[in-house]
Parts: sequence; structure tokens; C-alpha cells
Amino acid sequence: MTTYTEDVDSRALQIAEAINERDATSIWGIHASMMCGQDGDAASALLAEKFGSIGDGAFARNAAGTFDVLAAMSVVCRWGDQLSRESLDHVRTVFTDGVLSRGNTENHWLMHYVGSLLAYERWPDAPVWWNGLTPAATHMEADRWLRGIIDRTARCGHHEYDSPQYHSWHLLPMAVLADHAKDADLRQQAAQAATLFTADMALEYSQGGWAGGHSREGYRENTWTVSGNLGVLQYLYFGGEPFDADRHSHPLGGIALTARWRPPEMVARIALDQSSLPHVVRKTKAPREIPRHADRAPRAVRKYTYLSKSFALGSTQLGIDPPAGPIDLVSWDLGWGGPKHSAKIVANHPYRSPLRFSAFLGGLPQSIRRGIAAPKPYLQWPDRLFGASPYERILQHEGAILVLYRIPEDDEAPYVNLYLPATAAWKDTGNGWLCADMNGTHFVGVRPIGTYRWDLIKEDDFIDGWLLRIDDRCAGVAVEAIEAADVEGGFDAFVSSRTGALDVANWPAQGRATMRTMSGARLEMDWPASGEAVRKIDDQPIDDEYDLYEAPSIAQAKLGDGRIIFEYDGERLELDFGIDAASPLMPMRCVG
Amino acid sequence: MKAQGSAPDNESDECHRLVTEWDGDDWLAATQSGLWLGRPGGTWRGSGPYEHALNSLTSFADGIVAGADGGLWLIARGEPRWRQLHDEVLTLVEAASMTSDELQSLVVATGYGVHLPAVAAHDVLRWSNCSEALSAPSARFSTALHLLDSETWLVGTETGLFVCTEHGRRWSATSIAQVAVRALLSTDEGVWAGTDDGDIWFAADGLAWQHHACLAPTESAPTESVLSLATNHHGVLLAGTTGGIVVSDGNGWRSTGPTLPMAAVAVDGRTPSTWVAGAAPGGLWWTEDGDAWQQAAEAPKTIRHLLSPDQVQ
Repeated sequence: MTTYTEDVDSRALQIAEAINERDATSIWGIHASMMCGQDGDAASALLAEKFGSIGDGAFARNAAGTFDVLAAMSVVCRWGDQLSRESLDHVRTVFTDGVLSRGNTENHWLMHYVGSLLAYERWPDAPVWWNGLTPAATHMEADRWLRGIIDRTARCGHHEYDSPQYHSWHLLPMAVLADHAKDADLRQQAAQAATLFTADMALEYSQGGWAGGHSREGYRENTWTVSGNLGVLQYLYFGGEPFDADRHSHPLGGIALTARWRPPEMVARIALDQSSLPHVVRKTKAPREIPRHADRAPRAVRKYTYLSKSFALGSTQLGIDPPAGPIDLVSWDLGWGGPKHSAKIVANHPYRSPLRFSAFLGGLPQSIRRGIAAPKPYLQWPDRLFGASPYERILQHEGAILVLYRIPEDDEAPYVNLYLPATAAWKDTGNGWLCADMNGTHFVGVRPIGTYRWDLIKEDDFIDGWLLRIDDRCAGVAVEAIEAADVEGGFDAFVSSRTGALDVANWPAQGRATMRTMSGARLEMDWPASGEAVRKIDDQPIDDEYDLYEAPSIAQAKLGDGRIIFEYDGERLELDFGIDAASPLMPMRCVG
Repeated sequence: MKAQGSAPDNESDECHRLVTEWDGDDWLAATQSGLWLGRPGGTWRGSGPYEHALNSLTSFADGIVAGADGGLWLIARGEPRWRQLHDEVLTLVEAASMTSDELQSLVVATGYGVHLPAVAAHDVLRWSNCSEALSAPSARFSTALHLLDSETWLVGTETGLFVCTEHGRRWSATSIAQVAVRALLSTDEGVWAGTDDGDIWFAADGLAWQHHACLAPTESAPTESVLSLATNHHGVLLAGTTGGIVVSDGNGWRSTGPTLPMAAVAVDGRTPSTWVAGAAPGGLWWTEDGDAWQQAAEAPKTIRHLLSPDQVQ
């Protein structure tokens, strides 16, 4: 019987060897190389070659000042005693005589400030920093922001929340800070933040992926069974599945492999525990930062994720108003285990107003659309399946979800895209529902609302499936998933249950749609043409005022007080960030 | 691929010797690739390795205060290193002005509101937001700024023009409301404002605003937003719009130059027939007769603000 620490050590070595088998091309990879016994000369040469170099492209300067700054200082702090004097001098010179950038997103600022703080602590005697300030002044700024962002996260939820693509860039900086910051209190706060970020992963860990809504999902990846680069951290900390070098050995994970900080074992056990399924996880996340084209401040983000043994259905109340529409946000999806492209159902209104960019970025609203979308044309593609729409309303109860849209007359995309896996054998029930038996484990029913047509969608290995284009400004989608074992009578009974399961006779004219679930719950959405949607379950209005976290393993996690208590299998884990609830929150000035 | 800080006499140190030096005939341009210098008909050049995307330039002593998407910078003429003026709060800087010749007199318009500094330990500036009284985020999003005096500031926002007094404590709306104001210009006659609706407004005292002109040639013509304003001090008013340059010479308005979103337009008071315009995107253009325009091919493709030589101390 091995311990959790021994298991993580074993997986770390497995990952390091897989990373090390590839050509070392990034600073991140140095950690794996050193762990595998490489001497410091090659690491020194790679560090000197890569750090401070600015590539081509619109985002190269941001990358150098953020990702590279964190990577370089993680290597210097962890392996500095084995690196050459010349390579260390080079890193120091970039901080004193280079030109850095802190970027514009939360993960950018976090990496930039962690790297800057650690660089100052290593070279406090430099007379002046690259930005014309003393290293001490730069250190104080970084220290304030890092404590401020931890405070915000503990009190009102993570800002750039639950991103399979970017979460690593939140967790890893905190792990580096927990290992190497000089100040013990900051180390402690960072360690707790890293634990909290790992718990965020654990609470919605499902089938090797991350169920539920995501503030950002990798462009064109949200129809994949597992998306983003997070797999390396999930495998390292949770295990839970056979090692897959393609998914589990992203070089960025190198930092985690050799870090002293590790999450408490309880978090991993929460991730892998199937005994309490099915259950619901509720989370509150910080409001989106929308500084422009908004008459009122955005509200808190509320996530609801239903985790079952074979599938997970998650959705998000975004708290935004038109014309805001975060460009890589995914508000809801249904997922399960299976090959890529075969295990996800999601719908999207491919909203493409230019104001969705200028709502959270500087620059002229009149020209920003082309400026942003020229290097990223998929942000404007008509078949797009990611990106928030302010004209979407969602009602979820356990494994059932009702999604409605009211797309204005002047919107450029008067339709909704619905993705269905092409690997399933869909049955058209004749009453509007499409049903499928997913490998005998669970049944899925999908009911497009509005006139639609089937199309194939295939683009390299980004996407491969059915695209149902619902050509209706008041389109919608109803979905219900249920474990096969829970349906007496099997798939035929599930299909039969679809009769009368959805009533859209009053949608959109009277603004009412209702749905009856297999368990007998009644979902109702009243959304008049002019007015806000009212959502009810069994005639009771939904209360979205969640705590910071609500789940079977959460004993306490109230908004605002910075104390999160986990209880699992007779053990207790408390994160206490020592919040002064009367103190003002640090203003949020970067994109999430 | 560019390298920085690697070897003693490599390209990086060469860059650091490319000091931000300018002389009395140079025009300065805020670009997506940092500060650029040059003159119409001459060569334009980047000022060095600091290539932060800039939005505004404000003359200060023997240097420039540069507003950027990423913060605020002091660029001292002849100094190889820019100095950071922002902190962890100040970002998305659209415009800056000063009530005296001290840095702590800066007033800065940002995407999150108007910010004021205080000097803190290690001689750095810490910033506070004085737009919190405006509840709507759009009303706080400040894109243009003009100080009537040290206590009375005009702030162009996404929802109109506001007057801010008592050092940021009191805000009042003007008659220019529910439309973005991105351009303010002070002349001997008074203050001019341009809106996203393509309207030009004027106030002799900066407070009592009157509609002056609508730039749309016909009612059916598409509305072009006003992005910048300039004058040659000889009765000519230039408006940079999303559809190019529009000129008023007392006999109505006429279009001139390329059809580009002209975020910047400037005239050197010493040579009033020379006009320079910057597009975002569209590059840098100049004319000596108001009709024929020449593009400066070497300049960056996105220009957001220009200072003519007589605006640079």
C-alpha cells in the first residue's frame, strides 16, 4: 500500500520522463529534465536562450512578460544552485535591463507579479529595475496585488474561474509562491490559494475532465471530451485513470512535478470519490469585469453542476447584460467519458457584436472587431460553439436543462448552433426529441426548439460531429440525461417518456416554456419579450444565492468570510484566509 | 525573434542606446509599438525597446507622459529607460493631463474612471479612482480629458461629457449625453467636443455646450464617429472620424484624405498648412496642402495620438 505522496511522486516521475523524451524547447521543460537527472549545463543554456526572447505575433510581448517570467523564476528558484552563473546573470539582466509586460488578463498579471516578486527577492540589491523603479518598489506592488487577488478569490470567488485552459496558470504561480516567497504569511496564503484552486478542479472532476461552466475554454476545444492543458495537473494530483502521455505530460506541468507544495490528500480523494454520486455542486464566482457598454455592474457568476456516475451536466448564470459576451466562455454542456468528439453536447448562439470585445478591452469599438478577430478568425465563425451570448437564459435541475434564446432582430447571428456527437445512433422520436443510448451507460434526450437542419461539421481534429442549425431568433434546447440503470424499461421507456416532456406551445408568444423530467420535476421558464426571465422548479422560483461552494464535501464556505471547510470521510480540512471583511476589495483591473 | 538582456554588446544593448531622443522639429506618435518620432517627408523611427501599445502623449517638462493599455509611463528625453507611473490599479489609460508641472498633479482618464495619484514610499505613485460616484460602468469609462482649470475638468466618457469639480469629488452631466465623447479640443475661442454620433459641439466657457455641426453629409449617409480634433489656429478645424478627415474652413465641411479611422490628427502651429493624421488602424499620413496625402510606410499601422513639435516642450 503506497501513500498519497508516494503515488504523486511516482506519477511525477512518469510525467517527467514523458516530457523529457521530447526535445526540450521551453523553459517549463527544464523542471522535467532536471528531475530526470540532466545536469545544469543544458538547463542553463536553454534558460539563457529562451528567457528574454520575444517571438513574433500580436501576443508575443505579453507572453514574454508573463508566461516566461513565471517559468524562468520557477527554474531559478528551484534549480538555481545547479545553474551556471552566466545563465543566472542573464535572468537578472532581463529583469533589470529588459522590457517586460504584465499583459491584460488575470493569469497574465498573476504570473508577472509572482515572477517579479521572486526576482526582487533574489536580487534585491539591483539599483533599478527594468521599469525605472527600485526593485523594492516593484516588490511592494507585486506583494499588494498578490495578497489582494488572494483576498478577492477567498471572499467573492475566483475571477478567471474554472478554465481547463488557463487554470494551470493560476494554480502553478500559487504553488511557486508557496514554495519560494520569503514572507511566511504570503507563502501560507499562496499555499491555501493553490489548495483552493485544486479543490475547484476536484469538486467537478468527471471522467478525466472538468465538468461544468468555464470562464474560458480553449478556442475550438469545447466539444472535446477533455479540453485544455489541465490534464497534467489532474493526473499528477488525482491519478484516477491510466497514464496517457498526450494528455498528461504538458511541459508546463514541470513546475508542479518538482514543487514542494502538494495539495492535501483529501482533495484528491474528493475528486475520485464516486460514492456520493449523483450530487450537485454549486459555486459562486466573481462577477465578470465589464467596464464598458454596461449600465449596471455585472452580478456574481453562479455555477450549478450535476455529477452522475456516467455523465455530468453543468450550467452557469453569467450575470451579464447585453452587449457583453466573454469570447471564450462556455456557459453549459453535457459531457461523459468517451473518445474525442464523441462525448459532448453543447449549444451556442454565435454572438458576434463588436461590442463584445470592447466591453472588456480598450481600443475603439468601431474598429476593435477586425483588430481582435484578424489573428483569431474563429472568434467570428458562423459555426462557432463557444463564447457567451447575452441573449441566453438557462434553467437546470439535476440532469435536465432548458436553454432558451431571445436574439434581437438586429443581431447578426439569428440562429443557434447545437453540437451532437456523430458517433451516437440518434433516434428521432417523432415528437421533436432526439434520443440516444450512450454505450449502455446513460440515455440522452435532446429537443431542439425551433426549425433546424442537420449539417456535418468537421475541421481538422478540432471538431467532428453534427451541427444542428436552429434558425430561429427564439430558439432553444432542452436536454435530459439519466443513468440507464435508473430507467425501468430501458431505452424504449426513456424514449416513451419524451412524449409531453416539453411544452413550448406558449413559447415565444407568451414567453413560457415548461419541461417535465424523468423524476417528475417541473421546470418552468417565463421570459417575456420585454423583461427578465423568471425560472421556477416545481413552481418555486430558483434561488441563485449560493455560498462560495456547496457540495457534499463542503461543510462551510460562506461568501465574504474567507473560510472554506471541507469534511470528507471523517476528516476535516480548513482554509482560513484571515479575511478582514470590513476592508475594501482590491479593484479588479484585468480581464478574466 | 528579439533577444533582450543576454550579452554585453548584442542587439539588446544597441536598442538601449536607441534613446528616446527627439529634437524641436520632431512629431511624436503614440503607436501600438510604442513611441515613434519623425517629421512629414522625413524618416520615422521607433524610440527604442519599450514597445508598449500607447494611447496618449502628454508633454511634461523635458519628456512625455504616455498613457497605455497597460498603464502609464514617463519618457524622459535622452533617457534609455522608461519609468513606470502606474501601480496595480491603474490600467487602460486613455488620456492624461496635469494641473501643474509636478507628476502628482496628473489627472488620468482610464477605462475604469478618472484616477488621481498620491506619492507613496519609494517615490512611486499610488492611484485612486474618483469616478466611483458614477454608478454605470460606461459612465466611468473615460476616453477624453481636458482641464479647464486645476479644479474643473471635462471628461469625455462612453455615455457623454461630464464636468468634474472639487478635485474629483463632484460630477455633473452636460447637454452632451447618452453618446460617447472621444475628442476634446481647446482653442482660443473655446472648447470643442466630438461624439460617436458624428456631432461637433462647442462651448465658449467649456460648460454651456451648444450643438455646432453634424458631420454626416446627408441624412441617409452613414454616421461616422468623431475620434480626434485639431485646429491650425487660422480658422480651420479638423476632425478625425471613423471615415477619414473632415475639415471646416468657415465654408462648411469637406472630406479629405484616406477613408480610415483617424484616431489622431495634429497641426503644427508654426507651419499651419502641414497636417499629420494617424489611423487606428491605417498608419501615419501627412499633407502639406490639405488635399494630397502621403503615407509614412515605415511607421506602425496603428496610431492613436500625435503631438506636433509645438506641442512638445
